[in-house]
Amino acid sequence: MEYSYANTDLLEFPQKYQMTPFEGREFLSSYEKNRQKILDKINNNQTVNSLSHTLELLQKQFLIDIKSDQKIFVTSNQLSSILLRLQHQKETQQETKFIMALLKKFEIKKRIFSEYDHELKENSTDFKILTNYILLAAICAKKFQDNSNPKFLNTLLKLNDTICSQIDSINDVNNLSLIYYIINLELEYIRDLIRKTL
Amino acid sequence: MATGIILTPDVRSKAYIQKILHHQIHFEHIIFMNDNRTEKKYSEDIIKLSKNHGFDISQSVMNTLLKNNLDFKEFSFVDINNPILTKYLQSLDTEFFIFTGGGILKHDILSSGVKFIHLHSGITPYYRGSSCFYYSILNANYAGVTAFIMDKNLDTGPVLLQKKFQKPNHKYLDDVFDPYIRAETLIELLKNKTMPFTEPIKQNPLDGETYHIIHPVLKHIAILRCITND
Repeated sequence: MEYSYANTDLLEFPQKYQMTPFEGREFLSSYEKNRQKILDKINNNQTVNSLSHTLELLQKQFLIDIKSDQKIFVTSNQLSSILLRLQHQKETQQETKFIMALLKKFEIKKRIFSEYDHELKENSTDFKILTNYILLAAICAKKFQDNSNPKFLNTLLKLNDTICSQIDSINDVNNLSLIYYIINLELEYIRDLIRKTL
Repeated sequence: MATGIILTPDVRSKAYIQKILHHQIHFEHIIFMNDNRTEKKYSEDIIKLSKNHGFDISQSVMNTLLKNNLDFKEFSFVDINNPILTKYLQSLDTEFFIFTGGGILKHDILSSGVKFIHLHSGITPYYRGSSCFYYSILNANYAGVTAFIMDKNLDTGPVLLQKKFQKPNHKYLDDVFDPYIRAETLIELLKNKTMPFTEPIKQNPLDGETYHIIHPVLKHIAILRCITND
């Protein structure tokens, strides 16, 4: 059995996940194999940076790129800032609002746009920046780690499907290192849930 | 107070109308939004299981209505916001309609004076949104239904009744378990409550959690939890 939820271009043709069929235990094995294949691919092609080094690089990039005009959110800046903050403390109320709004938007449209206005309406038509999907996935992974709310695990799985569907077009070492980290976390959460549940 | 039901061509409506007939509950008005979609074919296993749960999934809504000589008004669309439906509902002296589907209620229908009762398969405010019975089984091994009067927000209207159900021991959660628990709650609501409902409990829209369509991996874990022996 092949895991079929990450093998087409999900940015161009989003998956709706409506009324998906039950395919038995074998489905879960096919999911794990598919994710493991992505991890092996990343590991075989390049050296994966540690999480701390990846976040360090993200911090530098974030400091360079940040815009002072807060009427417009540059999605990657906002998400980087939240991800970095979450490593040591809780996000602010405004950041929580931004995460939840973006999560909802992704769940509905399966796309993340490069800029939003202060009312969180799209301010750009560009939804192909993969860093945004990777950063939101990393935030969802952290949120699930902190509160065990399956809502975050659910969105993490969908974000990772989208990211895996684009894996051949990703070359940036930092992005690949983050992907390696979040897919490992996702697999750990799912294996843990299976152990506790079944 | 007159009460009606708006049916749609799906398993939920099949369960509702068949259980309503079984319990000899009378509706002032029956409306059937019917787009003549092709009926899904079901395996013998599902048909048998649905019958064990008090409805026959192989019987279309139209068959049930005709076979039981029920008076009904048919529309050739499945859209709760269609202005033709709104106008028709306004012409009736019916305060409450049971909602089975057909989209999210928009301003015009919400302000038409008609109140819609929805059977949502989640205990609000903890489980709002989509696929709630799966999340509830994953979190706490049970599923629940909330009957409420619909308002402009998602699953936030005044609550009429809430009912909890043990997780099922079969894998047909979408086709049998979900319509079954909603229909059971509907029957309890209609049999035990007097219309109009005297004490609906207001919800705070800011409380609780709203979920989105479940990912197939989590769905499989929830179903496997149901069919795996404890």
